[in-house]
Amino acid sequence: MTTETGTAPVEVISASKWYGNVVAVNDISFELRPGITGLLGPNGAGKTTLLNMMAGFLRPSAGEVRVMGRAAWHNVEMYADIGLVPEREAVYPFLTGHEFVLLSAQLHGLPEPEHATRRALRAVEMTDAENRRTGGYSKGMKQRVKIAAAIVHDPDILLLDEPFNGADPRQRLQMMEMLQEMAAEGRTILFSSHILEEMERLGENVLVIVAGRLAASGDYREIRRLMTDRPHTFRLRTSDDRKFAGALLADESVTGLELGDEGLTVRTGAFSTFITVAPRIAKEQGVSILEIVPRDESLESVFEYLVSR
Amino acid sequence: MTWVLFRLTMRELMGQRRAVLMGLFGLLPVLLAAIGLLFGVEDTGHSTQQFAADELLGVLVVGMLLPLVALIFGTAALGSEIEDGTAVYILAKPVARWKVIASKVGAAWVATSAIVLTSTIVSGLMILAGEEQQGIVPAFSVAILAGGLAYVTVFVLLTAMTGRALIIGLGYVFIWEGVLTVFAPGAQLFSIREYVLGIADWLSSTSRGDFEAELAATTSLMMMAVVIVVGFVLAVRRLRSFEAGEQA
Repeated sequence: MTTETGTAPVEVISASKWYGNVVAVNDISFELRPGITGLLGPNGAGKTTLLNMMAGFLRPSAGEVRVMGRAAWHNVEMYADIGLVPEREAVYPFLTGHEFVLLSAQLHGLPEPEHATRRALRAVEMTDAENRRTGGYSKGMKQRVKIAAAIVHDPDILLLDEPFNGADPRQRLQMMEMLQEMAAEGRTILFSSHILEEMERLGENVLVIVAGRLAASGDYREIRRLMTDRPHTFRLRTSDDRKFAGALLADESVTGLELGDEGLTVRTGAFSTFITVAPRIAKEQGVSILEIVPRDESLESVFEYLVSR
Repeated sequence: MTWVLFRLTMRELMGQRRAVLMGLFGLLPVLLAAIGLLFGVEDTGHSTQQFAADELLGVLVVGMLLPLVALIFGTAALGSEIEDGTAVYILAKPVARWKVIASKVGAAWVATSAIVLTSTIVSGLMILAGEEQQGIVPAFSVAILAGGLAYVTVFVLLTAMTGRALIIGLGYVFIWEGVLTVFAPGAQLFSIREYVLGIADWLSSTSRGDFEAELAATTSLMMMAVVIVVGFVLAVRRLRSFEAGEQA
């Protein structure tokens, strides 16, 4: 789905947001088109700020955010086309799940709010607990009822901030399938996460944001390959470190090597080549690999690499 | 106003401990009236009408009960949602911001009036039972209704502007209205309490010695209207430019 003028449903054009001297989002541009897009980044990267700008809850300090061809800021009408799942867990504790979703349907002015409410609650598998007060819900149940409230009016655009927080694996899978179905119907869906695996399952397209900047964007597999092929460091212990080190140095996948008391520290610029070459060299040299530990596998280090690229 | 938002806010305001506490607070004037009935007000050197208008309704109800109940309900009507982040569920809807503010002000006004008006009528009628009424209870009831609307509008505006609405509101009630208006009479022109007393004085038929407001009726009515209209417009404007997380 695109707007009548053919533009993307959501356009972020050189958008920045700063608070005093702190820059939360720094000159970011992208377009969201129908399908699922993942917004990936470590905590504090600016994901929520970006999402809030798209949802019309933050005025860009510079640049522009447009939804369905119109500026998102000061645009109350656009909420007829948008479903928003905020990151904060709070829901009205004195309302039942049913009342909470019904409230959303009524505020959207739907002609059959009860029918829409039942449909949305079924979609997130919350009909069993719909008559319980949300104050007694688990975190995962709150997330699901929030999603139900966001989809009750069948929006064209769905913005979800860390939607799978607190959901168990089965609920997570069920919600992911639901979002995939919605995307297949032509909806534009953006979800933020700091968990790489969630992107793998859902994000056909991924935006990677680090320290307020767009570090990478595009097809998930391509970004995953960049992440995989970045320089890696391993610590190895073998039956004969010195002999193995000598043999490894001759291989072009190895860019650096240190021999210490705790074994070998090996740097490689080609992760996939190294993990196939190392066992072969060990076998040729008659050396046993006792331990191989990656040293820089944290998500933060992956993000840092993408930024410095 | 949307009834959906009005009902939601009423449930929020009346379904919690604060409503019970406010209800108990509302019993204070009734208690004072009961004491006055039991022991008589003659010992205070005042007529019953003077005691009812000047002290019971003028000082206790208009000076304390009305602004404090309005402050609690007025700041909770929108402020609690902004504070806990649930405001996003009503703001991310295609609902005009003036309707949101009208619903919040309306609910806070009804909640405030329910407590303060009941307290006014019950305590006023108790103390004036068997006495010449001089229109005191109806006059204060109308004035309190108008004053309640002005107070909650100002307090809803404050919550849309700052996360410290309760503190600022308390400062307004106790320092500005309670102290400054006594020592600096010019401050009375910006005191909702003085407008309420001005309207009550105008509507009642009490004699000069029994009850006399500082502001004239026309000034009180005009200023009250200005506060309500300007407060409402500013609150709507502020909510239109509300930014997520700014008060979290």
